[in-house]
Amino acid sequence: MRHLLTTALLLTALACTQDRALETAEPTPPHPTPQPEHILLPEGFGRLESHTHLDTHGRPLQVRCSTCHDAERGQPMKGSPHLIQTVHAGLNLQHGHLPCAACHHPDDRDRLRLADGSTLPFEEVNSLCGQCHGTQHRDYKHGAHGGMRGAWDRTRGPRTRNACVVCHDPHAPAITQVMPAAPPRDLPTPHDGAHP
Amino acid sequence: MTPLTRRDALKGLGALLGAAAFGRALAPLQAWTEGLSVDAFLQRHYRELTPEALRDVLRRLEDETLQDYGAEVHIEDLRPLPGVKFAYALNLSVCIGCRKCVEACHHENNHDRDTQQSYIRVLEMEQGSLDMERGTADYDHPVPAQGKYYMPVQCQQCDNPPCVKVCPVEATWKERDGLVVIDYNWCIGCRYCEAACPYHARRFNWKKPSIPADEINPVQAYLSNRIRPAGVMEKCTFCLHRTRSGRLPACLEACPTGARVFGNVLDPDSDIRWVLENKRVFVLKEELGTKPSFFYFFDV
Repeated sequence: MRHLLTTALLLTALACTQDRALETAEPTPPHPTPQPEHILLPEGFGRLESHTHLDTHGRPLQVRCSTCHDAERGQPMKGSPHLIQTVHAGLNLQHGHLPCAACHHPDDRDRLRLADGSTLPFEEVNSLCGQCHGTQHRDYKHGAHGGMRGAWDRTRGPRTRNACVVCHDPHAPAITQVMPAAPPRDLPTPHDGAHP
Repeated sequence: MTPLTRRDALKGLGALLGAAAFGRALAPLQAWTEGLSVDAFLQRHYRELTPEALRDVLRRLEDETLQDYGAEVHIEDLRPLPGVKFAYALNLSVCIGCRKCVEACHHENNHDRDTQQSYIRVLEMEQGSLDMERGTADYDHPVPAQGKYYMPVQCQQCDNPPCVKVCPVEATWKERDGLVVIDYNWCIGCRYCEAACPYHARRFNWKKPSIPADEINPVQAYLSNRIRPAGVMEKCTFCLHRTRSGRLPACLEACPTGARVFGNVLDPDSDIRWVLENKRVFVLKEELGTKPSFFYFFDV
Protein backbone atom coordinates (compact mmCIF):
# COMPACT_ATOMS: atom_id res chain seq x y z
CA MET A 1 0.00 0.00 0.00
CA ARG A 2 2.77 2.44 0.98
CA HIS A 3 4.59 1.72 -2.29
CA LEU A 4 1.45 2.45 -4.19
CA LEU A 5 0.98 5.78 -2.42
CA THR A 6 4.60 6.81 -3.00
CA THR A 7 4.34 5.96 -6.67
CA ALA A 8 1.11 7.92 -6.99
CA LEU A 9 2.69 10.94 -5.25
CA LEU A 10 5.77 10.76 -7.45
CA LEU A 11 3.66 10.55 -10.57
CA THR A 12 1.58 13.58 -9.52
CA ALA A 13 4.74 15.57 -8.82
CA LEU A 14 6.13 14.58 -12.19
CA ALA A 15 2.89 15.61 -13.94
CA CYS A 16 3.01 18.98 -12.16
CA THR A 17 6.59 19.69 -13.22
CA GLN A 18 5.71 18.79 -16.79
CA ASP A 19 2.81 21.26 -16.69
CA ARG A 20 5.09 23.94 -15.27
CA ALA A 21 7.65 23.24 -17.95
CA LEU A 22 5.04 23.85 -20.63
CA GLU A 23 3.97 27.15 -19.11
CA THR A 24 7.44 28.62 -18.91
CA ALA A 25 8.57 27.40 -22.32
CA GLU A 26 11.21 29.63 -23.87
CA PRO A 27 10.00 32.01 -26.59
CA THR A 28 10.30 30.55 -30.06
CA PRO A 29 13.67 31.50 -31.50
CA PRO A 30 13.03 34.60 -33.62
CA HIS A 31 13.50 34.51 -37.35
CA PRO A 32 17.17 35.37 -37.98
CA THR A 33 16.35 38.39 -40.13
CA PRO A 34 13.39 40.61 -39.23
CA GLN A 35 11.12 41.22 -42.17
CA PRO A 36 11.19 44.64 -43.85
CA GLU A 37 9.25 47.64 -42.60
CA HIS A 38 7.69 49.70 -45.34
CA ILE A 39 6.94 53.36 -44.60
CA LEU A 40 3.75 54.46 -46.31
CA LEU A 41 3.67 57.99 -47.76
CA PRO A 42 0.60 59.88 -48.97
CA GLU A 43 -0.15 59.66 -52.68
CA GLY A 44 1.77 62.36 -54.53
CA PHE A 45 3.77 63.50 -51.51
CA GLY A 46 6.57 65.89 -52.50
CA ARG A 47 4.92 66.66 -55.84
CA LEU A 48 2.20 69.06 -56.93
CA GLU A 49 -1.03 68.18 -58.71
CA SER A 50 -1.56 70.16 -61.91
CA HIS A 51 -4.93 71.87 -62.17
CA THR A 52 -4.77 72.01 -65.95
CA HIS A 53 -3.02 68.89 -67.24
CA LEU A 54 -3.95 65.20 -67.05
CA ASP A 55 -1.57 62.26 -67.29
CA THR A 56 -2.05 59.30 -69.68
CA HIS A 57 -4.42 57.62 -67.17
CA GLY A 58 -6.64 60.69 -67.00
CA ARG A 59 -5.49 61.63 -63.50
CA PRO A 60 -4.23 65.11 -62.65
CA LEU A 61 -0.62 65.36 -63.70
CA GLN A 62 1.79 65.39 -60.80
CA VAL A 63 4.74 67.66 -61.27
CA ARG A 64 7.99 67.80 -59.36
CA CYS A 65 8.63 71.01 -57.45
CA SER A 66 11.74 71.68 -59.56
CA THR A 67 9.51 71.89 -62.66
CA CYS A 68 8.87 75.50 -61.70
CA HIS A 69 11.46 76.05 -59.01
CA ASP A 70 14.60 75.24 -60.99
CA ALA A 71 17.87 77.11 -60.65
CA GLU A 72 17.34 79.51 -63.57
CA ARG A 73 13.68 80.52 -63.56
CA GLY A 74 13.19 79.60 -59.91
CA GLN A 75 10.91 81.65 -57.78
CA PRO A 76 12.76 82.71 -54.65
CA MET A 77 11.20 81.13 -51.58
CA LYS A 78 8.79 83.43 -49.81
CA GLY A 79 9.18 83.94 -46.09
CA SER A 80 5.55 83.22 -45.30
CA PRO A 81 2.54 81.73 -47.16
CA HIS A 82 0.63 85.05 -46.94
CA LEU A 83 3.05 86.45 -49.49
CA ILE A 84 2.23 83.77 -52.07
CA GLN A 85 -0.16 85.04 -54.72
CA THR A 86 0.02 82.44 -57.49
CA VAL A 87 0.24 78.63 -57.50
CA HIS A 88 0.30 77.95 -53.75
CA ALA A 89 -2.04 80.82 -52.87
CA GLY A 90 -4.44 80.05 -50.03
CA LEU A 91 -2.12 77.48 -48.44
CA ASN A 92 -3.34 76.86 -44.93
CA LEU A 93 -0.25 77.06 -42.74
CA GLN A 94 -0.95 76.43 -39.11
CA HIS A 95 2.25 74.91 -37.84
CA GLY A 96 3.73 77.11 -35.18
CA HIS A 97 5.40 80.16 -36.71
CA LEU A 98 7.59 78.22 -39.09
CA PRO A 99 8.76 79.83 -42.32
CA CYS A 100 8.69 77.70 -45.51
CA ALA A 101 12.44 77.21 -45.40
CA ALA A 102 12.25 75.55 -41.97
CA CYS A 103 11.40 72.33 -43.82
CA HIS A 104 11.74 73.01 -47.59
CA HIS A 105 15.22 73.32 -49.01
CA PRO A 106 15.43 76.80 -50.56
CA ASP A 107 17.97 75.73 -53.20
CA ASP A 108 16.72 72.21 -53.94
CA ARG A 109 12.92 72.19 -53.91
CA ASP A 110 12.71 68.43 -54.57
CA ARG A 111 14.15 67.84 -51.14
CA LEU A 112 13.70 68.86 -47.55
CA ARG A 113 16.23 70.53 -45.28
CA LEU A 114 17.11 69.51 -41.75
CA ALA A 115 17.92 72.09 -39.08
CA ASP A 116 21.65 71.44 -39.49
CA GLY A 117 21.39 72.45 -43.16
CA SER A 118 21.70 68.97 -44.64
CA THR A 119 19.29 67.87 -47.38
CA LEU A 120 16.78 65.09 -46.89
CA PRO A 121 14.64 63.26 -49.46
CA PHE A 122 10.86 63.63 -49.04
CA GLU A 123 10.66 59.87 -48.30
CA GLU A 124 12.55 60.39 -45.03
CA VAL A 125 10.22 63.10 -43.76
CA ASN A 126 9.86 61.35 -40.39
CA SER A 127 13.34 62.42 -39.31
CA LEU A 128 12.48 66.00 -40.19
CA CYS A 129 9.38 65.96 -37.97
CA GLY A 130 11.36 64.19 -35.26
CA GLN A 131 13.69 67.17 -34.89
CA CYS A 132 11.05 69.05 -32.91
CA HIS A 133 8.61 66.29 -31.96
CA GLY A 134 11.11 64.11 -30.15
CA THR A 135 8.75 62.31 -27.81
CA GLN A 136 6.41 61.36 -30.65
CA HIS A 137 9.37 60.25 -32.76
CA ARG A 138 10.67 58.11 -29.91
CA ASP A 139 7.22 56.54 -29.43
CA TYR A 140 6.93 56.02 -33.19
CA LYS A 141 10.23 54.15 -33.29
CA HIS A 142 8.91 51.82 -30.60
CA GLY A 143 5.62 51.18 -32.39
CA ALA A 144 3.65 53.22 -29.84
CA HIS A 145 2.56 56.07 -32.15
CA GLY A 146 1.21 55.95 -35.68
CA GLY A 147 -0.96 53.46 -37.53
CA MET A 148 0.44 50.23 -38.92
CA ARG A 149 -0.51 47.04 -40.71
CA GLY A 150 1.06 43.60 -40.97
CA ALA A 151 2.71 41.39 -38.37
CA TRP A 152 2.89 42.06 -34.62
CA ASP A 153 6.48 40.81 -34.63
CA ARG A 154 8.68 41.50 -37.62
CA THR A 155 10.29 38.09 -37.30
CA ARG A 156 6.86 36.74 -38.29
CA GLY A 157 6.20 38.96 -41.28
CA PRO A 158 6.62 42.38 -42.87
CA ARG A 159 4.92 45.53 -41.62
CA THR A 160 3.68 48.74 -43.22
CA ARG A 161 3.76 51.91 -41.15
CA ASN A 162 2.28 55.30 -41.81
CA ALA A 163 4.71 58.18 -42.18
CA CYS A 164 3.88 61.15 -39.92
CA VAL A 165 2.41 63.04 -42.87
CA VAL A 166 -0.16 60.32 -43.63
CA CYS A 167 -2.23 61.43 -40.64
CA HIS A 168 -0.84 64.91 -40.01
CA ASP A 169 -0.98 67.50 -42.80
CA PRO A 170 2.53 68.94 -42.54
CA HIS A 171 1.20 72.47 -43.07
CA ALA A 172 -1.61 72.11 -40.49
CA PRO A 173 -0.74 69.05 -38.39
CA ALA A 174 -3.41 69.22 -35.69
CA ILE A 175 -5.94 66.38 -36.05
CA THR A 176 -9.30 67.79 -37.10
CA GLN A 177 -12.69 66.61 -35.89
CA VAL A 178 -14.38 63.72 -37.72
CA MET A 179 -17.83 62.14 -37.56
CA PRO A 180 -17.52 58.78 -35.75
CA ALA A 181 -18.81 55.49 -37.17
CA ALA A 182 -22.37 54.58 -36.11
CA PRO A 183 -23.04 54.08 -32.37
CA PRO A 184 -23.80 50.56 -31.07
CA ARG A 185 -27.24 48.99 -31.32
CA ASP A 186 -26.44 46.02 -29.13
CA LEU A 187 -29.89 44.75 -28.36
CA PRO A 188 -32.89 44.63 -30.62
CA THR A 189 -35.59 47.03 -29.43
CA PRO A 190 -37.63 45.13 -26.83
CA HIS A 191 -41.04 43.87 -27.90
CA ASP A 192 -40.53 44.53 -31.61
CA GLY A 193 -40.84 40.86 -32.38
CA ALA A 194 -37.14 40.30 -32.99
CA HIS A 195 -36.68 39.09 -29.41
CA PRO A 196 -36.67 35.28 -29.32
CA MET B 1 -69.56 -5.86 -24.79
CA THR B 2 -70.04 -4.01 -21.55
CA PRO B 3 -71.60 -0.60 -21.84
CA LEU B 4 -69.26 2.40 -21.54
CA THR B 5 -69.35 3.53 -17.95
CA ARG B 6 -69.03 7.14 -16.88
CA ARG B 7 -65.82 6.17 -15.10
CA ASP B 8 -64.19 4.77 -18.28
CA ALA B 9 -65.26 7.79 -20.31
CA LEU B 10 -63.63 10.16 -17.80
CA LYS B 11 -60.48 8.03 -17.75
CA GLY B 12 -60.27 8.14 -21.55
CA LEU B 13 -60.83 11.86 -21.65
CA GLY B 14 -58.16 12.40 -18.95
CA ALA B 15 -55.63 10.29 -20.88
CA LEU B 16 -56.34 12.19 -24.08
CA LEU B 17 -55.92 15.56 -22.39
CA GLY B 18 -52.71 14.37 -20.74
CA ALA B 19 -51.26 13.21 -24.07
CA ALA B 20 -52.20 16.50 -25.75
CA ALA B 21 -50.61 18.53 -22.94
CA PHE B 22 -47.45 16.41 -23.15
CA GLY B 23 -47.22 17.00 -26.90
CA ARG B 24 -47.69 20.73 -26.44
CA ALA B 25 -45.03 20.81 -23.73
CA LEU B 26 -42.51 19.16 -26.06
CA ALA B 27 -43.22 21.49 -28.97
CA PRO B 28 -40.50 24.05 -28.09
CA LEU B 29 -37.99 21.20 -28.04
CA GLN B 30 -38.94 20.35 -31.60
CA ALA B 31 -38.52 23.93 -32.69
CA TRP B 32 -35.18 24.01 -30.91
CA THR B 33 -33.82 20.90 -32.63
CA GLU B 34 -34.73 22.29 -36.04
CA GLY B 35 -31.46 22.91 -37.82
CA LEU B 36 -29.54 21.01 -35.16
CA SER B 37 -28.00 17.89 -36.67
CA VAL B 38 -27.40 14.74 -34.67
CA ASP B 39 -23.66 15.30 -35.09
CA ALA B 40 -23.93 18.80 -33.69
CA PHE B 41 -26.02 17.54 -30.76
CA LEU B 42 -23.52 14.80 -29.92
CA GLN B 43 -20.43 16.98 -30.41
CA ARG B 44 -17.99 16.82 -27.51
CA HIS B 45 -16.25 19.74 -25.77
CA TYR B 46 -13.53 21.37 -27.90
CA ARG B 47 -10.81 20.27 -25.52
CA GLU B 48 -11.98 16.66 -25.59
CA LEU B 49 -12.14 16.37 -29.37
CA THR B 50 -9.64 14.08 -31.03
CA PRO B 51 -7.84 15.62 -34.02
CA GLU B 52 -9.98 13.51 -36.36
CA ALA B 53 -13.24 14.46 -34.67
CA LEU B 54 -12.22 18.13 -34.70
CA ARG B 55 -11.46 17.94 -38.41
CA ASP B 56 -14.95 16.56 -39.01
CA VAL B 57 -16.48 19.31 -36.88
CA LEU B 58 -14.65 22.02 -38.85
CA ARG B 59 -15.78 20.56 -42.18
CA ARG B 60 -19.35 20.25 -40.90
CA LEU B 61 -19.35 23.90 -39.76
CA GLU B 62 -17.99 24.99 -43.15
CA ASP B 63 -20.78 23.05 -44.87
CA GLU B 64 -23.39 24.62 -42.59
CA THR B 65 -22.10 28.11 -43.41
CA LEU B 66 -22.34 27.30 -47.11
CA GLN B 67 -25.91 26.06 -46.68
CA ASP B 68 -27.13 28.81 -44.35
CA TYR B 69 -25.28 31.80 -45.78
CA GLY B 70 -24.14 30.74 -49.25
CA ALA B 71 -20.56 31.60 -48.42
CA GLU B 72 -17.49 29.41 -48.79
CA VAL B 73 -15.37 29.84 -45.70
CA HIS B 74 -12.29 28.19 -44.24
CA ILE B 75 -12.49 27.45 -40.51
CA GLU B 76 -9.16 26.67 -38.88
CA ASP B 77 -8.21 25.37 -35.47
CA LEU B 78 -5.37 27.60 -34.33
CA ARG B 79 -3.55 26.70 -31.11
CA PRO B 80 -1.56 29.07 -28.87
CA LEU B 81 1.95 29.82 -30.16
CA PRO B 82 4.67 28.54 -27.84
CA GLY B 83 6.48 31.27 -25.91
CA VAL B 84 3.81 33.85 -26.67
CA LYS B 85 1.55 35.72 -24.26
CA PHE B 86 -0.50 38.46 -25.86
CA ALA B 87 -1.07 41.90 -24.37
CA TYR B 88 -2.64 45.07 -25.67
CA ALA B 89 -2.07 48.70 -24.76
CA LEU B 90 -4.07 51.76 -25.74
CA ASN B 91 -2.89 55.37 -25.75
CA LEU B 92 -5.77 57.49 -24.47
CA SER B 93 -4.00 60.72 -25.40
CA VAL B 94 -4.12 59.75 -29.05
CA CYS B 95 -7.54 58.06 -29.42
CA ILE B 96 -10.09 60.43 -31.00
CA GLY B 97 -13.17 58.22 -30.56
CA CYS B 98 -13.82 57.73 -34.29
CA ARG B 99 -15.06 54.13 -33.80
CA LYS B 100 -13.04 52.84 -36.74
CA CYS B 101 -11.94 49.96 -34.48
CA VAL B 102 -15.58 49.17 -33.70
CA GLU B 103 -16.41 49.06 -37.38
CA ALA B 104 -13.38 46.90 -38.23
CA CYS B 105 -14.30 44.44 -35.46
CA HIS B 106 -17.87 44.25 -36.76
CA HIS B 107 -16.71 43.17 -40.22
CA GLU B 108 -13.71 41.09 -39.23
CA ASN B 109 -15.62 38.99 -36.72
CA ASN B 110 -18.74 38.36 -38.81
CA HIS B 111 -21.10 40.17 -36.49
CA ASP B 112 -24.84 40.47 -37.03
CA ARG B 113 -25.54 43.36 -39.40
CA ASP B 114 -28.96 44.22 -37.91
CA THR B 115 -27.74 44.86 -34.37
CA GLN B 116 -24.43 46.31 -35.61
CA GLN B 117 -22.74 44.19 -32.98
CA SER B 118 -19.07 44.67 -32.12
CA TYR B 119 -16.76 43.50 -29.35
CA ILE B 120 -15.52 47.05 -28.78
CA ARG B 121 -17.42 49.84 -27.08
CA VAL B 122 -15.86 53.31 -27.15
CA LEU B 123 -16.70 55.32 -24.06
CA GLU B 124 -16.78 59.09 -24.23
CA MET B 125 -15.30 60.23 -20.94
CA GLU B 126 -15.21 63.52 -19.11
CA GLN B 127 -11.63 64.81 -18.90
CA GLY B 128 -10.54 64.36 -15.32
CA SER B 129 -12.64 61.23 -14.70
CA LEU B 130 -11.39 57.66 -14.91
CA ASP B 131 -14.65 55.96 -13.94
CA MET B 132 -15.65 53.88 -16.97
CA GLU B 133 -19.15 53.43 -15.55
CA ARG B 134 -19.77 57.12 -16.23
CA GLY B 135 -18.71 56.99 -19.87
CA THR B 136 -21.28 57.14 -22.65
CA ALA B 137 -21.11 54.69 -25.54
CA ASP B 138 -23.82 56.11 -27.83
CA TYR B 139 -22.37 59.57 -28.60
CA ASP B 140 -23.04 60.69 -32.15
CA HIS B 141 -21.38 64.05 -32.84
CA PRO B 142 -18.05 65.18 -34.31
CA VAL B 143 -15.09 63.86 -32.34
CA PRO B 144 -12.94 64.57 -30.44
CA ALA B 145 -15.38 66.84 -28.58
CA GLN B 146 -14.17 69.63 -26.33
CA GLY B 147 -13.46 68.50 -22.78
CA LYS B 148 -13.80 64.80 -23.58
CA TYR B 149 -11.49 61.87 -24.11
CA TYR B 150 -12.26 58.44 -25.51
CA MET B 151 -11.71 55.02 -23.98
CA PRO B 152 -12.33 51.97 -26.16
CA VAL B 153 -13.21 48.95 -24.01
CA GLN B 154 -13.13 45.35 -25.17
CA CYS B 155 -12.28 42.00 -23.55
CA GLN B 156 -9.38 42.60 -21.19
CA GLN B 157 -8.24 38.93 -21.42
CA CYS B 158 -7.90 38.83 -17.61
CA ASP B 159 -5.39 36.50 -16.00
CA ASN B 160 -7.96 36.00 -13.24
CA PRO B 161 -11.14 36.03 -15.31
CA PRO B 162 -14.45 36.17 -13.38
CA CYS B 163 -16.34 35.08 -16.53
CA VAL B 164 -14.48 31.77 -16.61
CA LYS B 165 -15.17 31.09 -12.92
CA VAL B 166 -18.94 31.47 -13.21
CA CYS B 167 -19.47 29.32 -16.30
CA PRO B 168 -21.46 26.31 -15.10
CA VAL B 169 -20.46 24.11 -18.04
CA GLU B 170 -16.80 25.14 -18.60
CA ALA B 171 -17.64 26.43 -22.05
CA THR B 172 -15.18 29.30 -21.58
CA TRP B 173 -11.57 29.09 -20.43
CA LYS B 174 -8.17 30.78 -20.58
CA GLU B 175 -5.61 29.58 -23.10
CA ARG B 176 -1.82 29.49 -22.64
CA ASP B 177 -1.26 32.65 -24.70
CA GLY B 178 -3.59 34.56 -22.38
CA LEU B 179 -6.71 34.56 -24.55
CA VAL B 180 -10.06 33.80 -22.95
CA VAL B 181 -12.06 31.79 -25.45
CA ILE B 182 -15.50 30.18 -25.79
CA ASP B 183 -16.57 26.91 -27.34
CA TYR B 184 -19.74 28.29 -28.95
CA ASN B 185 -21.04 24.76 -29.43
CA TRP B 186 -20.73 23.97 -25.73
CA CYS B 187 -22.18 27.24 -24.41
CA ILE B 188 -25.71 26.94 -23.01
CA GLY B 189 -26.39 30.68 -23.17
CA CYS B 190 -27.08 31.22 -19.47
CA ARG B 191 -25.32 34.62 -19.64
CA TYR B 192 -23.71 34.24 -16.20
CA CYS B 193 -20.39 35.29 -17.74
CA GLU B 194 -21.96 38.42 -19.19
CA ALA B 195 -23.14 39.36 -15.72
CA ALA B 196 -19.80 38.50 -14.12
CA CYS B 197 -17.63 40.56 -16.48
CA PRO B 198 -16.87 43.95 -14.89
CA TYR B 199 -15.94 45.41 -18.30
CA HIS B 200 -19.22 44.68 -20.16
CA ALA B 201 -17.05 42.83 -22.66
CA ARG B 202 -19.22 39.80 -23.40
CA ARG B 203 -22.07 39.77 -25.88
CA PHE B 204 -25.08 37.51 -26.27
CA ASN B 205 -26.31 36.39 -29.66
CA TRP B 206 -30.00 37.17 -29.45
CA LYS B 207 -30.68 35.94 -32.96
CA LYS B 208 -29.06 34.09 -35.83
CA PRO B 209 -26.63 36.65 -37.29
CA SER B 210 -27.69 38.06 -40.65
CA ILE B 211 -24.76 38.81 -42.94
CA PRO B 212 -24.80 39.09 -46.74
CA ALA B 213 -22.74 36.27 -48.30
CA ASP B 214 -20.30 38.63 -49.99
CA GLU B 215 -19.55 40.41 -46.71
CA ILE B 216 -18.65 37.28 -44.74
CA ASN B 217 -14.99 37.17 -43.75
CA PRO B 218 -13.95 33.69 -44.98
CA VAL B 219 -10.78 33.55 -42.84
CA GLN B 220 -12.20 31.98 -39.71
CA ALA B 221 -11.18 30.02 -36.64
CA TYR B 222 -13.21 27.67 -34.45
CA LEU B 223 -12.57 29.70 -31.30
CA SER B 224 -12.97 33.16 -32.80
CA ASN B 225 -14.83 34.64 -35.74
CA ARG B 226 -16.78 31.73 -37.24
CA ILE B 227 -20.44 32.66 -37.42
CA ARG B 228 -21.92 32.02 -34.00
CA PRO B 229 -25.28 30.29 -33.55
CA ALA B 230 -28.16 32.11 -31.87
CA GLY B 231 -28.39 31.87 -28.08
CA VAL B 232 -24.69 31.68 -27.22
CA MET B 233 -22.16 34.08 -25.76
CA GLU B 234 -19.36 35.63 -27.79
CA LYS B 235 -16.42 37.89 -27.08
CA CYS B 236 -13.23 39.51 -28.34
CA THR B 237 -10.39 37.02 -28.81
CA PHE B 238 -7.77 39.60 -29.86
CA CYS B 239 -8.62 38.35 -33.40
CA LEU B 240 -7.14 34.94 -32.62
CA HIS B 241 -7.57 33.87 -36.26
CA ARG B 242 -5.16 36.67 -37.21
CA THR B 243 -2.87 37.01 -34.20
CA ARG B 244 -2.08 33.30 -33.87
CA SER B 245 -0.81 33.42 -37.42
CA GLY B 246 1.36 36.46 -36.74
CA ARG B 247 -0.93 39.24 -37.96
CA LEU B 248 -2.05 42.29 -36.00
CA PRO B 249 -5.65 42.45 -34.73
CA ALA B 250 -8.17 44.12 -37.06
CA CYS B 251 -8.95 46.93 -34.59
CA LEU B 252 -5.28 47.91 -34.46
CA GLU B 253 -4.89 48.01 -38.23
CA ALA B 254 -8.06 50.10 -38.52
CA CYS B 255 -6.95 52.69 -35.96
CA PRO B 256 -6.12 55.87 -37.89
CA THR B 257 -4.26 57.45 -34.98
CA GLY B 258 -2.05 54.56 -33.95
CA ALA B 259 -3.44 54.55 -30.41
CA ARG B 260 -3.16 50.77 -30.18
CA VAL B 261 -0.09 48.65 -29.40
CA PHE B 262 -0.20 44.86 -29.52
CA GLY B 263 2.35 42.12 -29.09
CA ASN B 264 4.03 39.38 -27.11
CA VAL B 265 4.91 40.38 -23.53
CA LEU B 266 7.36 37.49 -23.26
CA ASP B 267 9.50 39.04 -26.02
CA PRO B 268 11.73 41.69 -24.37
CA ASP B 269 12.21 43.48 -27.71
CA SER B 270 8.51 43.80 -28.52
CA ASP B 271 6.66 47.11 -28.86
CA ILE B 272 4.26 46.16 -26.10
CA ARG B 273 7.12 45.50 -23.67
CA TRP B 274 8.55 48.93 -24.43
CA VAL B 275 5.20 50.52 -23.63
CA LEU B 276 4.80 48.57 -20.39
CA GLU B 277 8.33 49.46 -19.31
CA ASN B 278 8.33 53.14 -20.36
CA LYS B 279 4.76 54.44 -20.07
CA ARG B 280 2.67 54.87 -16.95
CA VAL B 281 0.18 52.17 -17.80
CA PHE B 282 -2.89 51.33 -15.75
CA VAL B 283 -5.64 48.74 -15.95
CA LEU B 284 -9.39 49.20 -15.58
CA LYS B 285 -10.89 48.37 -12.18
CA GLU B 286 -7.58 47.19 -10.79
CA GLU B 287 -9.15 46.84 -7.34
CA LEU B 288 -11.16 43.82 -8.52
CA GLY B 289 -8.01 41.75 -8.94
CA THR B 290 -8.93 40.55 -12.42
CA LYS B 291 -5.36 41.10 -13.72
CA PRO B 292 -6.19 42.32 -17.23
CA SER B 293 -3.83 41.84 -20.20
CA PHE B 294 -5.15 45.13 -21.58
CA PHE B 295 -3.41 48.33 -20.52
CA TYR B 296 -4.19 52.02 -20.94
CA PHE B 297 -1.84 54.99 -20.83
CA PHE B 298 -1.65 58.72 -21.42
CA ASP B 299 1.24 60.58 -23.01
CA VAL B 300 2.87 62.63 -20.30
